[in-house]
Amino acid sequence: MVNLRLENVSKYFGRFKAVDNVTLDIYRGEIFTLLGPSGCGKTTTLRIIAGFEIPEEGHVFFNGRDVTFEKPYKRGVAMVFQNYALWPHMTVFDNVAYGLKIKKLPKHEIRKKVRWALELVGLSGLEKRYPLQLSGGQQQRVALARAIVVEPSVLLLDEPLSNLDAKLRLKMREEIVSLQRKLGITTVYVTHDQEEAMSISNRIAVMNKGRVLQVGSPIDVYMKPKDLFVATFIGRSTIIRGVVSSQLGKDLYAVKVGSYKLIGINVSGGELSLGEKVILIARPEDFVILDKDTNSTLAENLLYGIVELVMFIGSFKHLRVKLADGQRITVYASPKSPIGEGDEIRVTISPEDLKIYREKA
Amino acid sequence: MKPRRHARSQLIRLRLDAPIVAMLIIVILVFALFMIIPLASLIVIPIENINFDILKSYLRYPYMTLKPLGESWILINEVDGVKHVIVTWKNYGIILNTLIAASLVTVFTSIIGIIVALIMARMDFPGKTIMRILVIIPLLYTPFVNAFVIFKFFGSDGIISHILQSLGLNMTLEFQGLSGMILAQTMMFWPIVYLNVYSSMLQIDPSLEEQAENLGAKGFKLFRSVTLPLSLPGLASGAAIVFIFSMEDLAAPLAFKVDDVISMRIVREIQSSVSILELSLDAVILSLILLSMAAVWFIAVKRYVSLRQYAMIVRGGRWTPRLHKPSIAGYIAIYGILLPWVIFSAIPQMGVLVYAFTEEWIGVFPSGLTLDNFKYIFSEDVTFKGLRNSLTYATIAVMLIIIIGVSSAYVASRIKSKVAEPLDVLVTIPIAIPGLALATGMIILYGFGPLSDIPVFRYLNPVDFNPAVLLIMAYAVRRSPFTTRAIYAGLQQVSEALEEAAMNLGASRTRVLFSIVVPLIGINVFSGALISFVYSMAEVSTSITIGRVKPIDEGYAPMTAVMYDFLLGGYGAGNYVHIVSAMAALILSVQLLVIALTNIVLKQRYAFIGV
Repeated sequence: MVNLRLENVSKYFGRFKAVDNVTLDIYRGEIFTLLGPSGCGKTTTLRIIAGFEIPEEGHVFFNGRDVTFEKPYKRGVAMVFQNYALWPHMTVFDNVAYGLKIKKLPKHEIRKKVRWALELVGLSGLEKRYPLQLSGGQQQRVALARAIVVEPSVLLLDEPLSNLDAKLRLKMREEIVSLQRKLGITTVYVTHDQEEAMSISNRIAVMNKGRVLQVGSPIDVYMKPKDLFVATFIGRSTIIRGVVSSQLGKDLYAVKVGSYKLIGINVSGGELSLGEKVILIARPEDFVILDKDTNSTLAENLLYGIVELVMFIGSFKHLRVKLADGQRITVYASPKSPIGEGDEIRVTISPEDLKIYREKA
Repeated sequence: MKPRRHARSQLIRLRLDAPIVAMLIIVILVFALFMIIPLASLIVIPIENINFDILKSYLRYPYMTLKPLGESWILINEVDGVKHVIVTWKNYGIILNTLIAASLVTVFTSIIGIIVALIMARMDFPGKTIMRILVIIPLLYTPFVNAFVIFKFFGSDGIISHILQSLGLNMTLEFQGLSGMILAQTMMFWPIVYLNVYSSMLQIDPSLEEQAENLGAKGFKLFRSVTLPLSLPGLASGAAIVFIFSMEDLAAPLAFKVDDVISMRIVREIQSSVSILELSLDAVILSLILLSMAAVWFIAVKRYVSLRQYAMIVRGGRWTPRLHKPSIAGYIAIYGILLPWVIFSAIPQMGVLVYAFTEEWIGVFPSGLTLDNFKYIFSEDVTFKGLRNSLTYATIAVMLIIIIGVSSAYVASRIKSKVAEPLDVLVTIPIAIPGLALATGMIILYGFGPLSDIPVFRYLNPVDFNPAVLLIMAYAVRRSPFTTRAIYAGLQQVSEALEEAAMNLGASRTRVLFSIVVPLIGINVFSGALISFVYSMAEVSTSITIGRVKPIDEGYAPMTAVMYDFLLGGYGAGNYVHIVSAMAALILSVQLLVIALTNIVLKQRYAFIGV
C-alpha cells in the first residue's frame, strides 16, 4: 500500500493546459475519486499517476519517492481502463495471467493466483473464454481481476462503470467497494457521475478546467461546497441572483432579490460589500412550500411565484417556479402535492440552506 | 513557490523510448538513402551543366508547342467505298502531350469510376457479385502486354474494324498514337478510381443520406449535394494515382508507338546514353519535370483532401449500406452500358491469356493452341533467370517492406509528437513518386554521383557491382506503402489502451510489441506483404532502367526488364508478344493466388490502396 502525492502538477497538450497546478494527497488504503465534467483533466491526472503522461511541471510521489519520470511498467500501479482493454487474442486466463508472467512467477503460482483473482470477481470457470465471448459486466470483472492479481500498490480505475447499463452499474459499484474494502488497496477512481462518486469514495476531489476546486468527504463536498462550480455540479441546485443589502452577522447577509429580501450565509470567504452582486444557491429539496392559509408574516425568507412547469419524477415532483422579478427557480414538492401548472405558491428556505457566492470569483 | 518546468529534452527522451527511436531511425535511413537523396541528386547534373539557353529550349518543340503538328482524326475514303476512320491526336510536344494525356485519362477514369461506384454501392441487382469480380480484372497487372491487347483491338487492322465490317458497316475504326494511348490508359486505370470512390461511399453513414432525403433531396440532387461531396476523399486519392500512373506508364505508349511523351523519352535517353557515366542531360531534366508535375498534383490533391477530412466518414461504424432496386432505366443502364463496359475493360487480361497460350494471333482469331511459350520461359536462360530474379528480388524486398511497414506505421500511429505527421506523408509518398524519376536519381547517386566513391556504397553501384541490391531497395521503397497502409489500418483498430494495459502490468515496449501488437495486426502485415510482393514482381519503371544498365544476358535483369526487351526487339512483332504474354500470365497467376489467399483464408477484400 502506498500513499500518493501529486505536487504542483501541470500538463499541457499543445497550448491547452489539461491539468493546472494540481496538488493532491491520497492516503493509504482509501478510495479517492477524481470527479468532474468531461475534459476537466481527471483522466489525464490518472494517466499521470500511471505514468502514461509525463507532466511538464510538478512531481508525483509514491511514499515520498519521486516517480514523475518512472516508466509505467516500473511503477507497480494497475489500471482498469474505461473500455477494459482486454486483449482479444488471449483467453480470460491469459489476460489475467499476463502481469504475473512478466514477473516470471512459476507456473503453478500463476495458476493459483489467477484462480484466486477470478474467484474474487466471481468469474471462476470462464478461464478459457475469449473476451468477445463475455458480456460487458464479465469483461469488466476480467479487467478488474487482471489489475488486482498483480497485487498493485495503487489501483487506478478510469470510469470503470461508464460502459455498463444502469442496473449493472449499481451492482458493480457495490462490488468494487466491497472488493476494495477486502483488499485495502489505495484506489484512485475517476468518474463524471457525482452520485457514483458520493457513494463509493472516502474522499472526493472535484475538478474543473484542469484545476482541483475542492477536496473533501462526500458529505463535505455536498453540504459545504466551497465554490459555485462545486455547488452546481454536485447534486441539483437552483440559482437566484441578487444584490447585498445589509450585513446581519459574521457571515450572515441580507440579499435583495426583486422586491424580496433573502437571508443567507456567505461561503465565498471575506467580507461582502453592500450593493455587491451575488449568487444565491439552494438545493431544490430545501425549499418548504407553505400552505395557502399559513400566516406569511411569520415566515422568513419568503418567495412568491407562479408554477410554470410540473414534472413528476417519482419520489418527488419537480416544479419550475417563476418569481415576480422574472427569475426562475427549481423546487421539489412531495409527489402527492396537488400543485399544478399556473398555481401561485409561496416557498420559504432556512438561511443556512441558502449559500451566498460572489458573482465574480 | 512557482513550480519549475521540466527540461524539454527530458520530456522528449521519455516519450520516445529506445525501440521507437530504433524504428524511427530505420525508416528515416531507408527513405533518405533510397528516396530523398536520389531524388535530390537529380538536381546535381543540371546545376553543373545547365544554362539559360538549354532551359529555354524546353519551351520549344519537341518539348512543347502551341502550334501542334498532325491531325486529330483522319478520314480516308477508299475507291471501293470503305471508309477508314483514324483517331489520332495533334502533337503538342513531349511535355504538353504528357500533361494533356494524363489530364484526359484522369477525367475519363473519374467519370466512369464514379458512375460505376455509385451503382455498385447503392444499387441491388441480379448479377452484382459477378460484376464485382469482373471489375477487379482490369486491375490485375500484366506489365506491357495488356496495352498490346488493346492495340490488337483498336490499332491498325484491329478486331474492332473487323467486327464493324462483319456487321455490314463499310468502315474501319482505328486509334493511333496519343489517342490510342489515352483510350488504353482509361481502360486500364478506371477501376483505381472506382475502388477508392466505392470504399468512400461504403463509409458514408446512411443516416446522412437519409436525413437529406428526409428534407426532400433525391436522385441527382441527393448525389450532388451529399453523396458526391462525401466521396471526394476517395475520388481525390483515385484521381491522384491515375494522373501519376498515366504520366509514367510505358505500356500504352509502347503499344501505340508513342514516342513523344516524357516516360518513353526518359527510358530511351537512359538506353541511348553511351554509358551511365554519360547519362544524358535530357533524361535528367525530363525526370525532374516528371517529378515536379507529380509533386504539384499530389500536394494539390492532398491539401484538398485534408481540408475535407470529414470526421464522420472516418469514424467507421459497421452499418448496412443503403441499397435500392434500380428503375427500368437503371436496369437498362446497368445491363446495357455498365456490364458491357466492365466486360470490355476486362478484354486486355483475357487477351493476354489468349496470346500466352497460342502461336499466332493475326486478324480476328488466334491459332495454334500451345504451351510452348511457357516452355520457352523455363528453358531459355534469359527468361528463366528473369523469372528467378524477380521472385528473389521481390521476396527480399518484401522482408524489408515488413520491417519498414511495421516500424513506420507503429511510430506514426503511436508517438505523440509532431514527427508523426511528416512521417506518415513520407511513407505514403512513394505511391506518388514516378519510378522513372527515382530510377534516374538512383543511377546518378550510386552509379557515378557523390556516393559512388564511398566503399560502403560500392555494393549499391548497379554497374560495378550488381543492379540487384539497388533494385531490391527500389522495390522496397516503392511498394512499401501497400504494406504500411494495411498495417496502419490494423493499428487503428488496436486501441492504444490495449498496449497501455500491458505496460501498466510491467511489460516493456518491446514485449508489448511482440505479445500484443504483432499478434493483433498479423493478418494486416500478411495481406499487405502479399500485395507488396505482387507489385514488386510486376514493377516496371526501375526494373527496365536500373535492371538494364548491364546487358540482359548477364543475368541480373528482373522479368519485367526481359519482357520490355523482348517487346522492344520487334515492336511486339513475331512471337515475342506471345512469350511476353506467357510471362505476364505467370505474374497474373501469382496475383490470383494472392487474391484467393487474402479473400478466402483471411476473409479480407483485396483492394488497391489509395494515396
